[in-house]
Amino acid sequence: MVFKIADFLIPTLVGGITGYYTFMFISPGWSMMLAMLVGMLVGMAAQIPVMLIGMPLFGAFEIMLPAMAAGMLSGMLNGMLAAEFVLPGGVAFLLGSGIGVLVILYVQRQNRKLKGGVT
Amino acid sequence: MMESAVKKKWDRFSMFYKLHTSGAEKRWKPWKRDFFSKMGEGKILFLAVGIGSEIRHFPEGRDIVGIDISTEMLKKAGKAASNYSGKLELKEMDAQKLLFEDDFFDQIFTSCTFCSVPEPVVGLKELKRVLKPGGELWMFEHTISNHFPFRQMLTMMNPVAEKIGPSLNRNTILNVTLAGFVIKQIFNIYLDVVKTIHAVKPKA
Repeated sequence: MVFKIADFLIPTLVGGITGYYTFMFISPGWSMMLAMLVGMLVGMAAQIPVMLIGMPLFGAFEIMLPAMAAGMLSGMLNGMLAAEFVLPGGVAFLLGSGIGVLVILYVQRQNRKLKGGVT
Repeated sequence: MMESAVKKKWDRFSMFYKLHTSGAEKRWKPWKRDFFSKMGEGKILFLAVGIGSEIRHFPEGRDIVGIDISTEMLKKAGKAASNYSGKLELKEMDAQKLLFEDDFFDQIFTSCTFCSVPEPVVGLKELKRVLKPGGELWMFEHTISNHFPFRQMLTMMNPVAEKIGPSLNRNTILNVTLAGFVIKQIFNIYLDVVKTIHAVKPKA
């Protein structure tokens, strides 16, 4: 049960933190491509501390892969949005968290598909 | 030279190994218990022992030789090994240069080992050499994924990961085949990244 909660919360948190910081770094007027790349880097940076704390407690790949995916995707999408709009920090956090939730749902779906005997 | 660099890396990593792997060990406990329940009655080689955190999963009364390249890891494994109710001998050894005669073991078990052996096919060929014809190779390993975006993420993380610990981009299934084993079963535990591999050394 603890693992299931952690699996859900960690990518959500990484997505949220990334969303928040992406909107802090990037402002309207940025080139969309640059905003997306910077957002992705913010996402990669945001997942490092969460991973360093989460991995010893809750596992390795089960934490690392969803957290990284959530950070990168939240950073890219929020980066592009931040290049167009200004949003309050709380809203940016929620938006990023939502992306984190979608990522974990996708990862879990893939895991159900791939898990089990292969040959 | 390469052996010495690998040994140094794992000697250094031994300080953080328990902390770093405790979450994974808890999460994988039921899988590991099932995995090691396949240990049979004959002579067994286990690599890599690490700090000995998997010894508690070994069935009682087996005849096992456990090896690791790291002196520091083996020092930490000593207590768990002495508590094992069976025959368990620990040796410092490189998986790529095994000091056993040909066709010596009935089974070989590896656990998160071939993410770290510098030349995995060389190491696997050594395992094949010391395994009896028809003998079993059981592996609990993490490998590269064949699926987007996991493959790309593991590839991106690999340069940093392999500086401090294991490689994340090993194609161990292919390597097992290249070394001459016949794969009997692959079982994915998490995505197609964490898995068990059951292979045999052909009799002829």
